[in-house]
This record gives sequence, C-alpha cells and structure tokens, in this order.
Amino acid sequence: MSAGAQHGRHWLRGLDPFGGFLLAMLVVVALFLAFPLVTAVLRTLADAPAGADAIVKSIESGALPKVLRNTLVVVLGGALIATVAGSVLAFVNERTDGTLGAAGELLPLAPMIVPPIAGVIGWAILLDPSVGLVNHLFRSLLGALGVDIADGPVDIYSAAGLVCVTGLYLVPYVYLIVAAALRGVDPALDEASRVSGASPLRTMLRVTLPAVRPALVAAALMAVIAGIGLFSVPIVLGTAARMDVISVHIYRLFDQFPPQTATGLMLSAAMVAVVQCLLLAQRWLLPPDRHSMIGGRGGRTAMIRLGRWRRPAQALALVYLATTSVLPVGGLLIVSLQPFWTPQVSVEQFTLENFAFVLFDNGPTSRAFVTSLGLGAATATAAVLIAAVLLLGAKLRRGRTARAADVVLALPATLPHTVIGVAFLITFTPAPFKLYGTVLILFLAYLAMALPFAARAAASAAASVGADLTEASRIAGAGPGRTFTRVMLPLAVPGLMAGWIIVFIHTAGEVTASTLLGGARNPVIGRVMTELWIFGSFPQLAAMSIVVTAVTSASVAVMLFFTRRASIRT
Amino acid sequence: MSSDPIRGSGRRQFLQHAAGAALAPALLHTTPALAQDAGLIAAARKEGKGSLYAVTDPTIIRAVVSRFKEKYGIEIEVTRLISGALGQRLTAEHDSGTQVADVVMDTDKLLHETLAAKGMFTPVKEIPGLEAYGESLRTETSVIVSHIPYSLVWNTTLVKEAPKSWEDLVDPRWKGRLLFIDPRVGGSPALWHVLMRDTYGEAFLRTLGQNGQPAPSVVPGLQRIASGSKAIYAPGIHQVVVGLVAKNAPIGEIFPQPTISSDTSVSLMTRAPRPAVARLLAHFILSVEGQAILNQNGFSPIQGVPGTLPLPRLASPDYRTIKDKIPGLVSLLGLT
Repeated sequence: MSAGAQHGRHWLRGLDPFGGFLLAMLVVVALFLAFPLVTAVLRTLADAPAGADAIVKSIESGALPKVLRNTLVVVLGGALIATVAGSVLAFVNERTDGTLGAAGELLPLAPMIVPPIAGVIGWAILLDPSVGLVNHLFRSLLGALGVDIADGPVDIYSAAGLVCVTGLYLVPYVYLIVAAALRGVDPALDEASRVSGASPLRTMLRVTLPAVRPALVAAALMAVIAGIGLFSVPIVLGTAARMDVISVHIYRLFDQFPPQTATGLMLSAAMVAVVQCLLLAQRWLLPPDRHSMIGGRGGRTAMIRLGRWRRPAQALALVYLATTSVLPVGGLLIVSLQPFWTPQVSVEQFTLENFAFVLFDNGPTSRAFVTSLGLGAATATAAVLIAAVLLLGAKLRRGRTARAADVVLALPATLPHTVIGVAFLITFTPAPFKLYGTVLILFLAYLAMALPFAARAAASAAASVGADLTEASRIAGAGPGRTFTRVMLPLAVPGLMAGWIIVFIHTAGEVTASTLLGGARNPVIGRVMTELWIFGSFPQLAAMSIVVTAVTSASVAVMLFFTRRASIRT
Repeated sequence: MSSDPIRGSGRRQFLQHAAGAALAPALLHTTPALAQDAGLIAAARKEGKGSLYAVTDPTIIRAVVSRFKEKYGIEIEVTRLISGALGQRLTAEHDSGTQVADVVMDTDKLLHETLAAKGMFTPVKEIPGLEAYGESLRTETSVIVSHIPYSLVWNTTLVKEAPKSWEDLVDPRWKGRLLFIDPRVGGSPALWHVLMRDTYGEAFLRTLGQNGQPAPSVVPGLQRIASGSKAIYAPGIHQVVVGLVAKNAPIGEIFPQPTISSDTSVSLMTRAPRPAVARLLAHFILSVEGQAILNQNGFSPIQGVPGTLPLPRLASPDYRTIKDKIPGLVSLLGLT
C-alpha cells in the first residue's frame, strides 16, 4: 500500500506542465466516455435482474451461443480476408513500382466510401442468386460452355456471402494503417533484400511486412473491432442467410418496445471486455519499440522494382478495385436510374426521377448533407487531435499515461452504435444538458464512436516515429511540448490523416445512433438512408448513395491530395 | 361485428364509396366553417410550426401536411420513425420535459398502451370531428385513421396463376422462391405469423421456414419480388405495392381471408408544445378531406371517403402477448 502510494507520488512528482496537461485531458476524455454509460446503467439498474434472467434464458435456449458462434465466424473470416487483401494492396501501392498512383490510393477506400446499407444492396443487386447482374453474366458464360444452371452460381444471401462482404468492408481499415506504416519504413532493407536476389514476393513476406508487424497487428485488430461493430452488412444479408450476429442481436433488443435496455447493456459490457482483452493480448504479443521506425536517416522514395511481376501486380490491384468499387457503384448507378429494381435493364426506361426525389423532393436530404459532412469533418478533427495529443504525447513520457490512454480511447470500440445512441439519449436529454434534438448531441455521440478508430491510427503513427528523433530534439534543448509539436506531429501526419479519413467517412454515413439522435431538425445522411431503406425504394436509396459517394469521394480525394503533399514535404 | 357498420367489405360498401366520391367536392367545401373551428384555427396560427412523429409512408404523409399548410397556413415538421425509436424518443422527451412532438401517428398498440399509462397522451375527445369514428375505432387516447391490411404479393412474370389463399405460399412449387417477413422485426409482422399458426397449424410455419427465406423488412422484401429475385411474398403492405404497380412493376396482390390490419392511430401529446396545432392537425387527418389524402387507394376507417377501397374482413389476434410468442415463431421457422 505504502509502496504503491510512494510510487504514485513519485509519478506525480515527475509531472511537468505538458505531462499535467496530458493527464488532465485523459481524465476529461475518460469522464466524457464513462459518464453516459454509467448513467445509462444506473437508470436501468432496476431491470438488471430481469436482464440477467433474459440472458440466462437466451443461453439455455441456445440462441445466444448461436449468435456468438455466428459473430466469431463472420468477424474472424472477414478480418482474415481483410488483413491479407489490405496488406498486399498496401504493399503493392506503397512500396513497389506496381503502384496505381493516386487512383490506387483512393480506390481501396471505395467499399467504405459507398455508404453502408446502400453498398451492401449494391452487392445484392450484383450477386442475388436469381436476378444478380453478375450471376446472370456467369450463367451466360457457363451456358456457352454447355453448363446450365437455374440459379447462382454465387449466393450472396449465405454465410460465405456474409463473410466475404464483411471482409471487403474491413479492407480499408487494414489498408490505411498498413499503408501509413509502410510509407514510414526505411526502404534500405527492401533494397538489400532485392539486391541479394530475393523475389518481390519473398521481399514482401520476409522483409517489408515483418518490418511493420505492429501496424499489421494493429490493423488486424482494428478489422476485428470494426467487424464486431459492423451493422449494415449483417442486417441486410444476415437475415436472409439466417446468421444473426451480436450487433444485430443487440440492435433488436433496443429496437423493440419496451426496449430491453438492461439486457442490451449487459451484452455490450461483455463486448467491451472482449475488446480490452484483445488490446491486452496485442500489447503482450508486441512489446513497444521493437520494430522499425521513421529514423533520421535514409530517403523515403525508393520503390521496389517488381520486374516481370509488375503487370500481374497491377492487374491484381485493378481487379480488386473493379470488384470492390466499380461494380457495386455501377450496380447502384443502374438501379438508381430505374423506376423500380429490375434485372431487365433497358435504357429507354431510365429516369432521373429518383435523383430528383432525393435531391429536391425529399425535404431533409440537402440539410442532411450539410449536417453530416460538417459533423464528419468536426468529429474527425476533434477525435484525431485528441488521440494524437494523448497517444503521441504519452509516447514521449512512456509508461502509465500511454497505457491508460490506450485503454480509455478503446473503451467505446465495440459498443454497438445503438448502445452509444441510447446512452447519450438517456444522459443528455434531461436538464441540465437538454441537448435532445440538437446537432451537439450527435457530435458528442459521434466523437465517442470515433475515438477508438482515431486511437488505432494514432497508435500506429506513434509507433512509427522513432525515439532517436524525439531524443535528439530533447538533447537539443526542446521541451516535451515543443518536441511534440515540432517533431512528432509532423512525422505522424500521414498516419493521422488515415485516421481522419476513416473517422470522416464513418461519421458522415453513420446509421444506427443517428436514427435515435437525429430528427427533423438535425437530419443526417445515415438517417435519411435508413428511411429510404425502410420506407422508400432501392432506386431512391441507390440514387442517394450515388450522390453521397460522389461527395465523400471528392472530400477524401482533397484530403489525400493535401496529405501526399504534406508528407512529401516533410 | 354487425354492430360496427364501418368494418366489413362487399359490393354495397363499394357502392357507398362510389357515392361518397361523387359527393366529395360538396363535402370538402363545407367542413371548416364552424365557430369553434375558427377559434381553434386562430389559436393554432398563433402557436406556429407544429411537429408530427409518424411511422407512415413519407410520401403520403407529406401530401397530408402540405395540404394542411395550404389550408391553414401552418407548417408541420414530420419526423419519420420506426416504432422502437419512436418509443425511445417519446419517453426521453417526456421524462426530460423537452417535448418536441405535438402529434404522433403509430401502428404499435402495445407501445401506445405503455406510453399512455405514463400519461403521455391527452384524451382524443378534444379532437373536433371525432364523432364520425365509432367506438371500436378509438381508445381514450388514440383513434384509428388508417387500416393497413396485410396482403399476399407475387411477381406476375414468375407466378402465372394468381394465388388465392395464404396456403398457396407453402405450395411446393415455390420452394426456394418464397420470401416472408422475419417475425423479429416487430409486433404486427409477428402477429401475422401467429395468425398463420393458429389458422393452419404449426406445420404451416415449419414449411414456410423450410421453403422460404426471411426478409428483414417489408419494403426491401417487396423490392425483391418486383425484381424477380423471389416469386411470392407475405405479408405485403398495400401502399407500397400500389407505389410499385404505378411504376409498372410486375406485381400482383390479394387480401386472403383471414388477414390482420396494422392500424395507424393518431394521438395527441399531453405536453404538446403547440396543443392547438395538435388538435387542428388531428382534426384535419380525421376529416373526409384528410382521409382522402391519407388513404388514397387504401383503407379508411370511415365511409364515404373518395378514392379508398373496401376493407377485407379482419381477424384480431391478441397483440398483448405477442412478445412472448416470438421465440416460438422463430424456432418453428428455423431462424436461429
């Protein structure tokens, strides 16, 4: 006890103003995240025994174990696909002459830029076993070979379909983190490997990727975390595939009336525990600072020459880009021009009616664009700044602050968005806050959801900034604050930008919490899209998603353009 | 049943509707002129922009409020919600005293009862024009303004011979081509499954589950029928079907007996920030003019509304116990 207290005092004694600032900020963030959840738990405490009872019953009946098994299959399968595909694409695009340049950089994000629900419906339009456009094409090809089948060959409404589409949706999380890490790696090792006669594949597997192992693990972990929270894919495909996963299961608990809030909160608490275990495992597996970083030496422009592998690598990337972005967007574009979704595509029937509806007739749309994009930018900026200051700053100090920041920022990671929405609704509606129906309550809820994503990106960025530079700065007489703003932050910009983009896209299209918190006076894109899914039609939803895709892609392209320039300058 | 002149269907009622349609222009001009109406209109105008929370088809609701604005010069903000979110919001607004909604239109009777028990709704007898609505159409705090009977829907390209009864759903011909609503999505869809089980036995639901695929919501389900992704579907919502048929989608629809109706009710909030607007809007929705817009090509609970259809006979299974029955339905259908 006394030893602990002494240790604590010792720790506080070593606190300079910058450290004090970090600590205060951490406490504020922790309170901000914990307060709504604790309030929600306290408000539902009376229902806790009934909630526990419901969970026990659900376990006994086998319903909940089935949901957990489904979740495990979908999330691990999806994360595996995403980690492999995302890393290879990042390697080709960042470290080799097989790069597709700016297009290559923008397009891996495409499955994310197409808003949730609509993107999945885009896939359903292509791969519906009976009327899917791609399946139709496959059948014609097979027919030419003398093989006749009535349906398929691909069934998107199946377990495999669900896992694959989940995987596609997780690729951007992996890609952005790995690409940012690769950009920071000293290419001398790659060159040494190529010069000693290793093939590009061997170089990638034995030299380049191991050098960014922390980023790979961080990326895989992020894929798992995002996979657990993913809602749009399982709600659209999972029902038909009879694969209920935990996010949909919890959504159903809150979506009925009276909502089973206590049960939902208990299951959510269990999910938070799982994520914390994952993060602990990551730290245990990968002690910090045992990997390559941006050193003070070496150029950053040398690319691995792929030689005869260059064309196949580019082709692979192009095929990936085509299948993940061009095709579903194409499918959505066709349907957005139809009066109703039909596989009989006839140009004479094409109409702009759906675009006119979502842009001009559907009252909330235009306001929703302004609100959502503004909130997306504000949330992304705030979340990335907070995460950057806490995690990069904590790196300067090592030890406890860093660990605490990691734990705190990851707290909301697997809380389903429905839970965050409910907690913020319950907490911030009554006096003294009275934030109900305001844009501010959306911002706060979005910020809570965004922090884990910003934190993963910031952690990866922090890991890539070598200690030699910060020490050099300190030896040269700069204080921690100055070292932070003048040395660490500029070096971490590419990694932080990746986080900004993820958060921006995520927030601009967020669906579930927006359904609870957004309204006639603060309409947001995600809510309008859900309305079109529940009350409207696929063509209207498709038209809306084409517009959203165009706007978010343009925003992200602008961001990437400036990031590239910034990172080339540094 | 016979004591209720409003329910039921048939040729005679159809003729009455036709007569109503012929009389309508005259009726439309006579409605608002009463003295107390003038007082209400003036009070409502003073209160300003109103707020309506509705689960109803947005296109239809927009037509209603835009005519309301035309007529009274009062704008109504519409927030569309699904039942779960509606309950959460109204509870939050009520508990915190930050009331936004003036009027609510919802289909979930259980939700209404729970919220009414908390004193959230004011008695509907304050709505001028309520007399036209029979006892069976109202509770103390709600009045039914639309019937939405569930239908059987099929793709006319894939299904050549029009189905006649719910039993056609489980015809082996449609194995793998059948789509049905997931009972977990809400009270009314689950009630339809209960009706099927009670009418045709558990084997019906088992076959439905084996032969068909569950749909996560009605609208996406009907889109898949229109596209030919699946051939036959239940239960459909007439308004959505009408919208697709108007766009030449190859869709057929019947209302097999027995069926249930997911009724839309109007209620007024006790703490409505604009109580006069609330009453005036409800009055408009109850009027023949409001009904003609709200239930165009649909089912009005009162007679003599132009452009509405005769209502099929309705069963009314016990909605109060529906929650407890859902796990049983899910297991019969083999959804877990």
